[in-house]
Amino acid sequence: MSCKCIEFQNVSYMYNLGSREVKALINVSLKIPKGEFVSVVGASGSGKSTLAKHCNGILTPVEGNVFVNGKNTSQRAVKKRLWKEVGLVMQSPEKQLFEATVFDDVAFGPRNLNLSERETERAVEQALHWVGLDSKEIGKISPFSLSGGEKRRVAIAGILALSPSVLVLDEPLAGLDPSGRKRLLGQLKLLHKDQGITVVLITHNMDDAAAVSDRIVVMNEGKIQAVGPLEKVFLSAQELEEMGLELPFAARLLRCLAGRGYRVSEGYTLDRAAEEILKIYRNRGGHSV
Amino acid sequence: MKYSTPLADNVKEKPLISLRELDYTYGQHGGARRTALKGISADIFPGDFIAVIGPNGSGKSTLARHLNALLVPSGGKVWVGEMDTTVPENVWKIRSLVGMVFQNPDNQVIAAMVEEDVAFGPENLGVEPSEVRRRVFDVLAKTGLKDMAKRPPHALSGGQKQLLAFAGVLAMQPKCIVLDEPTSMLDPRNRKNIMDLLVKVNREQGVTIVLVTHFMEEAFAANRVWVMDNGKLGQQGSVEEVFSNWKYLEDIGLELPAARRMVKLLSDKGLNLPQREHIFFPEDLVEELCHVL
Amino acid sequence: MFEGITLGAYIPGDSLLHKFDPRVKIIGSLLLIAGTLLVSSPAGILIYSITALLLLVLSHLSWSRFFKGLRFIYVIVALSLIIQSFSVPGEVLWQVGSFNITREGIFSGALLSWRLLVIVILSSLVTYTTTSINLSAGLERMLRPLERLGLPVSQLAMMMGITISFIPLMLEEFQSVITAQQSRGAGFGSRNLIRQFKNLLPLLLPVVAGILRRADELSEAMEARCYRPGAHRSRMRELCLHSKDWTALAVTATMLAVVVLLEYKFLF
Repeated sequence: MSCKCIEFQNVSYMYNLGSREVKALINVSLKIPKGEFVSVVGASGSGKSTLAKHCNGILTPVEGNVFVNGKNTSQRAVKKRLWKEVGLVMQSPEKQLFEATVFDDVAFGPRNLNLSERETERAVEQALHWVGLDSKEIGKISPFSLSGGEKRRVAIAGILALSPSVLVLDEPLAGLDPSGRKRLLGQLKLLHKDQGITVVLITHNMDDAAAVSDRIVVMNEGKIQAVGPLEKVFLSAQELEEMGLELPFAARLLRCLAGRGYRVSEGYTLDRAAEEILKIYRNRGGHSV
Repeated sequence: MKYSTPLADNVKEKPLISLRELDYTYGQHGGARRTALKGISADIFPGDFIAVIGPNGSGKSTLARHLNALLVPSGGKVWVGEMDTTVPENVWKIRSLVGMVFQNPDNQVIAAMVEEDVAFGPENLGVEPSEVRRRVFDVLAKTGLKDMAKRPPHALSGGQKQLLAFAGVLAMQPKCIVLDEPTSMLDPRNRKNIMDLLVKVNREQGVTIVLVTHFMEEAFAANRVWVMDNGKLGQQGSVEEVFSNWKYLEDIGLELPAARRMVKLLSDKGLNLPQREHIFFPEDLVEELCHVL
Repeated sequence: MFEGITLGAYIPGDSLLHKFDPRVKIIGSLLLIAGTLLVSSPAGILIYSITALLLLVLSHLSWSRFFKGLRFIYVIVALSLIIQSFSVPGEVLWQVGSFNITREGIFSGALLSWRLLVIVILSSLVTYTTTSINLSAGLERMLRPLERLGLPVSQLAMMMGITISFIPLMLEEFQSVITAQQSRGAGFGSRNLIRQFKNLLPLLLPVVAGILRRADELSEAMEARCYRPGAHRSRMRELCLHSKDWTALAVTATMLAVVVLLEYKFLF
């Protein structure tokens, strides 16, 4: 039994750039059930950021409707309060930091919720903890003196402190170095498991999407190209390349082997690929050392 | 992916850039002092493609900025050609020899029209107008931006803006181009465009490239890899030499290239590929697996 | 909200007016404007009206689009007509309450409105057919002699050029900060004045920080490309006056001279 958490019904969104009309979303229909971890992948310009902004009412459809927890986002009353339920972390969120201390900046959201000071403190502590930072250590420091990766985590904590039931993140890993990416991705997965939050991850990195998602939505030029669990969605490598995306390394490896005549099934993570390879090895009589 | 073979090491020629015992400390004029670079000595030869890798905070960007005198050493010396970077009179000539592309595509836009932005560099060098025009159109064609020549830069995508920045530096016809994590904010397609262009410019025109990156796969295009470790030059060598030392790379916090990680994972699960020490590229992995299976 | 903002009103085109040197457009329009302010005879008004319309035709701009863009001026034009009608003493034509509409007033109002309209048409023609880059290049070239007096003309021009390309990027940044803070509950549409002020900080501070960061990085990029303030730089496209430019200047200057002679011959 899944409550339809976010639902897009024939949503189209366009705007005018100078004298041209840009069609950012074309007839998009999508249902994201509660508690799912879904990744929206696409190259830049595919419409994925526009999709993200429709999830919390920042943008409303020109055609069609978006429903969040049953409420229509085009209604003013709904739009005004949506930020409390759907937390949106935009690209390079560290740009939003402005307070004198990390604590105050993360508290900005809770304070706008009119929580008591004590509740705010708890929310801030928890939020910082979830992103792997210690509020006692970092609380009194100015956010401007932090490293890039730390700034990003503080910005994300700022949204987590609202305790949203849905978390939408637009390219949260872009610009981070590999260890930063691994850590953040791990924390998101943990958050999803622990708190049951619905997570919508917007990314152009298929490896990341494959590592954490239940389902994947592939977008291209404003339209949804494919939706479904990983196996159903990973189209031909060529199709993906034409859309500006790349199959995860593991998938490419397995497909390469399949092309050479080996019987391997699909896999998108290194672990799965290793399993498939070992299966063949053992079947050929190889022994594990 | 396997890039075309880098130009051969021409150690017989004199180095284009030399670093000798380079030290750099931040905050020398008040503020917290922090040693960013310690005792770095290395040479960059004409035609090299150097990949500088290292974890965050290891000093990669700081090092990059010493190559064109945006920063000058606190100790030791940096020589570009025969010129000492600490001598102010040399700076302008040094920067005409060593160009730089930075990480953020938005903050390198100088003019209000694409072709004017590309012309900025050559104009600063006092190049004759008709030659400037020729270079601008040549470079716009090379970077695939010819159709955007009259458009404003802010109408370009992030990837195109980086190509624009690169075009602007290329138009100055430098001997060496240093790029500080130029692709970290781009999607796969744009990353590939930039890398293809870098490889082309290096292999076909002999332009020396120094690429600071945290994408291991980009390092495969290099003929030499420098590994930065806490301000020191921990390792340098060919791609094979550096990536063989996977224990060291892991220890300092770097993620191995995907093919290497696969080899390691298989090893952990009991499958030791005989050629495992020599596998760096995905193509090598596939070949080896076909052998073994 | 800020998507698609292009600075300046430039409409791309290939007309004669587009091809004129920007300096000629600036000076020529100033000469014509001076003429419209001085002219008052029916013949003169006719000639200048025809000139303005002729230039509009030569610009190949769509008339509907052009006049739609001027709609903000119509109110002012109408207002000046009305006010002048009431305030100039003379032969009374109608009476509205205690206000007298005089014939002199109507003529005076009509002349003023005509002048306003023509001035706006002429200056719009310049901005619609000249890119902001060319406008600043034209200004810079005209002011260059002042460099000998110590005025840093080329640096000022560089600053103007950078500002022009900065502004759209800055507006984008504004937009993204607004979106980010709105996602945290910052209400920018509050009625309460105090709340509105408080809500400005989460918007202004990050934007200012962003501007400073951008300025820092941009100056690094400029230095890396060998920019030296005040040093000699070549120009890819040097502004060059052709015969059509000289002709246009000659015509507009002559028109002004003729106006002065004919309309003000009582002065000589």
